[in-house]
Amino acid sequence: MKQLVLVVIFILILITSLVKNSTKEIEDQIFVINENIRPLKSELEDVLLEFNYLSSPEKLVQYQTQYFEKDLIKIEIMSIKEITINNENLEINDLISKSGNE
Amino acid sequence: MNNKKNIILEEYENEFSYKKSKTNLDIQFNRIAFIFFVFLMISVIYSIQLLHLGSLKAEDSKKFLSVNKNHRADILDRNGNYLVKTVKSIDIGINPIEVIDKKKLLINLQLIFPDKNYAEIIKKLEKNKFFYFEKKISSENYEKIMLLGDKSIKSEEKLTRIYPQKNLFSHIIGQIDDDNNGISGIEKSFDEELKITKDLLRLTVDADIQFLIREELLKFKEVFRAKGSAAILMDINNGAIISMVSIPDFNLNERKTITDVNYINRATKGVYEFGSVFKTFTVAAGFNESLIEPNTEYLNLKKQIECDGFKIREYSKKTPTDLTVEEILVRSGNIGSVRIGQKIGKEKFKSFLNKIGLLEAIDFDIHEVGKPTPIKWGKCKLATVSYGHGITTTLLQIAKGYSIVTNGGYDIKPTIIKKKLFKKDSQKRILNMGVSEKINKILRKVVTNEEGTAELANIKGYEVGGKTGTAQISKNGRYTRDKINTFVAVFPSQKPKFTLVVMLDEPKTNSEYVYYYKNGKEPTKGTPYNTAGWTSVEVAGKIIERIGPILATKYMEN
Repeated sequence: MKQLVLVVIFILILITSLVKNSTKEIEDQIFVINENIRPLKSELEDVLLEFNYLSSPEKLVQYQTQYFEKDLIKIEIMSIKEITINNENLEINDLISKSGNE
Repeated sequence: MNNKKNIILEEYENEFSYKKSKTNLDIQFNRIAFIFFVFLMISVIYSIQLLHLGSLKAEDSKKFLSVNKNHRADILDRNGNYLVKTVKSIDIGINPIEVIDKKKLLINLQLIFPDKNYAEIIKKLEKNKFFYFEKKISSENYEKIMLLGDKSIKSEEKLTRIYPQKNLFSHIIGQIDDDNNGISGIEKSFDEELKITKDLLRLTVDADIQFLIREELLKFKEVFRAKGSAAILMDINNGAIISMVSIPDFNLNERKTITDVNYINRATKGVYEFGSVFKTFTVAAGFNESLIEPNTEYLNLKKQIECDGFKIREYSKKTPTDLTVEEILVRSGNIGSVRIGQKIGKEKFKSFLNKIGLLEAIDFDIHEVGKPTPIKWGKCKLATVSYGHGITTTLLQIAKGYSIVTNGGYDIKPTIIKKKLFKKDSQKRILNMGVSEKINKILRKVVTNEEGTAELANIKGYEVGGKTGTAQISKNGRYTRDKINTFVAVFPSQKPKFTLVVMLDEPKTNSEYVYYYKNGKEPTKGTPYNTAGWTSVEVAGKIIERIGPILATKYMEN
């Protein structure tokens, strides 16, 4: 009986060390991945900041006057259409009903 | 003689017997008990501490986290655009005591930074006191200067805030000092959270809409030569502020110390008399108390009344003497509003204004909030307050008040913080049913009717409703010719979603400006009167025209 208990304890210790060893490897991998993500994240933030600056409304207005005066035009609300899919049929309606309370 | 000697041996009783001392036993028991008691106490204290920490709210528990001096969370708008971004920068300082060869150091520095004023640097080196040589150094120059290997050169990592939107959110965001402490705006009110949290702080504002509104305000500040102006666009159902602009503003990247009072946040801090925009509250209070209906008639209204020597007149001589409640609001009748106010009574009216949050300072997300001047409800106060005079409040509170009276009577809390938003269903109804429906119909007529005062804001497709307010500015206790012109727009009228408040501080008329009417009438040149109808309404109309397509496509479904 005593021997059996000792054997069980020994097996448990062995399994624990094996599991611990395998998780250690995973932990190492996670650490490495996290370390690799960190600079990418920082780079993404910088690129996003640059994008936000370059696509800020002030810049867009500047681009419009400089390069796209004819392409970027203001759309009147009454000209905006709404596309809905109804029973696989495409329906195009005015966003604001013309018979509205005007 | 037989002497018998009897020896009597007395039984010897040895009283000594070895026993385990009772006291000894107690001592041993007490030791175990004592150790057990100590452990018990430690575990009880530990458990109490755990329970205490567990019961703390998320915000409170953050206080226990350490504050990182070199961290400050970024701030984004509702679409994920950066409004504020933290970047790390390095400052280079020199400790003259540690310099071995001053000449060699100066030559090396001159090679890296040829444009510096070296006469001044030599003076600083001679003073033998630490000084900053270059702040926010570029990574290229940092590498070069560190390669010199001089131990007198010290580098210090600093935190820098970058504001890609420049002036756009200056009054909302605020500034920080050199030690990473917020000194105004959100930077101040969320100072601790920004230093602790690893998450980003998301606001309810929209950079695109903010830009368009600011552009129009700047344009019309020039047209009407106003001292300043402000506008707030708010979602009437949840109090989310989509845009809040106050002009003049400042570029946050320049980090200037602002002392000029003209840079006050007119949207939240400035406290003003707004005039006739208050008439909507008077009529709404009457509806809420079921004392009046839109068609309730007021007959024989005088052109002028007097209260305690103070004259109250109609603004226009053309105002008829018989008016319904609806006509009083559409034509912005002063005397009719006084009569409605008198019918409501001082206590009920006061309670109504308090309920919609106009009399006390508002609890808002930034510290720069104005406190309405306390009202002394004397003999004539009810009469003057009924048409919006003798009562002051902030533009933000006007926006909140209009939102409540038009959203079905639900209480809202204006906010610029996205996570603070909650749904309309969870909000408390503070006004009776039907009040908003009646008010919305009348506000629409203020814009559509010819007698109304806001014809210029009748933008096709938006169903704009609203109310104008022209108030003279009181300086040193006397009313002057300078004015505060305000227009509160609520749209779309059938199911309101937005409140837009536009205020111009001391505008003037412009004889060259051309007004284009929306109903096909011939354009007119020149501002005929310095009233809200000819100034703020025009600005609001232009703003709605520009931001309308974004609102209609981006916000209506939400």
